[in-house]
Amino acid sequence: MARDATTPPSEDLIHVEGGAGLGAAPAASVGAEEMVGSVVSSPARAAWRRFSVNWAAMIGLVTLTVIVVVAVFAPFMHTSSPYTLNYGTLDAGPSWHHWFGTDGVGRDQYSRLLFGLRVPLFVGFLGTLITVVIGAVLGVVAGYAGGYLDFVLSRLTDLIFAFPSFILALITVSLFGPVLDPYFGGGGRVILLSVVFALVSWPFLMRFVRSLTLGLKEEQFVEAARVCGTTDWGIIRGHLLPNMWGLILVQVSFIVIGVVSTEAALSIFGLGVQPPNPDLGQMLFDGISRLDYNPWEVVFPSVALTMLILSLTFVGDGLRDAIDTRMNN
Amino acid sequence: MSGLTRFLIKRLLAMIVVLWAIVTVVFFLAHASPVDPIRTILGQKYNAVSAAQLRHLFGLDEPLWQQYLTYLDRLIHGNLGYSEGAATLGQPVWGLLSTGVPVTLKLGGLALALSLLVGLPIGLLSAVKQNSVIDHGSQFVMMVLYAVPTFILVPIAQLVFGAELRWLPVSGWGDPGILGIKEMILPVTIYAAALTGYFAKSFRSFMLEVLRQDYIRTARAKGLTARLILYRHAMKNTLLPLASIVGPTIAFLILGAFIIEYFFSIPGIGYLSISSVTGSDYPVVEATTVLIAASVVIVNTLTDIAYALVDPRVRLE
Repeated sequence: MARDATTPPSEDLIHVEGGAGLGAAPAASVGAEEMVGSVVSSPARAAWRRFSVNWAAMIGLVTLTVIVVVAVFAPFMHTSSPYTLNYGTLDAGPSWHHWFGTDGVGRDQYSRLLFGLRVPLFVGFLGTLITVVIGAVLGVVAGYAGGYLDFVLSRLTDLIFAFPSFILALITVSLFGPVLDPYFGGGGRVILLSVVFALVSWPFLMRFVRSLTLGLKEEQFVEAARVCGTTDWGIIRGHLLPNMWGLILVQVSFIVIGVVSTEAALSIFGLGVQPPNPDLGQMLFDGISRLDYNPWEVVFPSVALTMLILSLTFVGDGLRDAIDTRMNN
Repeated sequence: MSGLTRFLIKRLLAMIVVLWAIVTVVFFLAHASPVDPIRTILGQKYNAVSAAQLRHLFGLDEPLWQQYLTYLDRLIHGNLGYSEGAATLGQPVWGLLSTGVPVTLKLGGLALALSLLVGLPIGLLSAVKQNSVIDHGSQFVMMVLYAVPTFILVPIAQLVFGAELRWLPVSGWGDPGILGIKEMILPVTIYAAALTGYFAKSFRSFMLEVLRQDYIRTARAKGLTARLILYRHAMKNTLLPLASIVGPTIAFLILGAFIIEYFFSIPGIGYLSISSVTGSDYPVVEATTVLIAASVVIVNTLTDIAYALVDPRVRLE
């Protein structure tokens, strides 16, 4: 396979993951912080130490936390209803009354933005959760079982991997979105979006987890566990998964970015959450049509979306540098 | 049978299976739709008699499996059917595609060329001046370019250069003369932005990898100039990894045109695809999806084959 030429053999992953921060990594790649730390430290703690000295990653983490808090506590922080139309103030700029101005039908943009953050965050969370469950389970099963089962699962993965995921999401949501809209108080489409994104994005993770499993199951500690009579399930749960979670977490942060961006893109084509429910992508899309009247309607949603995606990117990069230490030297 | 022949046959067979699966999934998805295309076409003029006539005309009154077989048969013979959309009703889908494809290819080709022209030198400079201010500064800018989604860059660019400064048109494509060139500047630049970031970041790491190799140290030890080492020894060895990312990027270009074409009203495949999805024009949805999927699969297969030709280790698996 082509990817083998660019990635190091999988044994590398295991040594690094198992011994991250225990002196296995070359001194040049380890922060000064680490040298003065205690002699024994868990891989997770060492990874956190590397993460916390990375200023870009920490800024990303703080921004992301603020965004999540704002979205969760939106009902306590908004200044007026995100749904109330006010034909007295159409397309207004920022003011004391409307911090971020109003849109084309006079709704308060600040309040809509707070609630609009919830959609990408929720879809990002749920979509990624489903992706990880499907991808990790199938990857571990295929890699561990091998043989016929591995062949079937791998070919299925190849097939879905080859499918242009954006188009599949586009078609599915445009066809079945209207049917699901009435359910869960308008949330039917949000769930559909999450499921669709998960269905198209798991193959990538499955391949990744499968290759990790293939490398790990030949390791001596797995051999030892098997000799001791540990069941297959016990080996997977007690020996394989604990050695993989860090690397999976790194992948997860990039999957979230993909899901959030795709959700916003679909909203821009009018296929996301339907009006009048607030959604960041939808606000941006509406703002573009009001560009000549009130540019602020483009500015605030795009700043919010950019901050969300950039903070996720910085956190993802920080996680990769902290956990996946083979990239550093 | 030699390893290479076996590899080629395997890849081509896999490609055909994938294409068939895509055609089938798209066909049944479109036909499982709860939206009735006939009702959309007729709108206010809907009545049972003309609906039945239209249904018969499009072959929609036949059983689903019959429609599927007819569709496959037509597809193999290059007949993509006729548009069911309100604006382009009855036009052959083939004609719609053949006007859209050159537009998308030109847009993508220009963006790819621009991003390589800008991204590779920046990546090279970063690698040569590793850990300098230039390196950190340019890598930060490249990461932001790569990370900020197109759908945010587009409205901001339209706002600044179109609505405020009024330097460049915010929509249109293919007008003659100077206007045609001005129309291309914004879409091509924004399209190229993310790719530039990607190429610059990737090329930097490829270059650093190569510069660490023993043969570079040997070249330096025997007294070659830095310039000669860089251009004659290092550059050549970054070509293979570079090819491995440019290939999939071409597939992405075919796919990534959606947002750019939609925002700038450029009549390419992406625009056609979106408008057919929102207008319930199923023959066009099927055709554009299959076309895009096919190009992605074919480009990926060609990349794999090219890789196997260059690097014999790949064939062994």
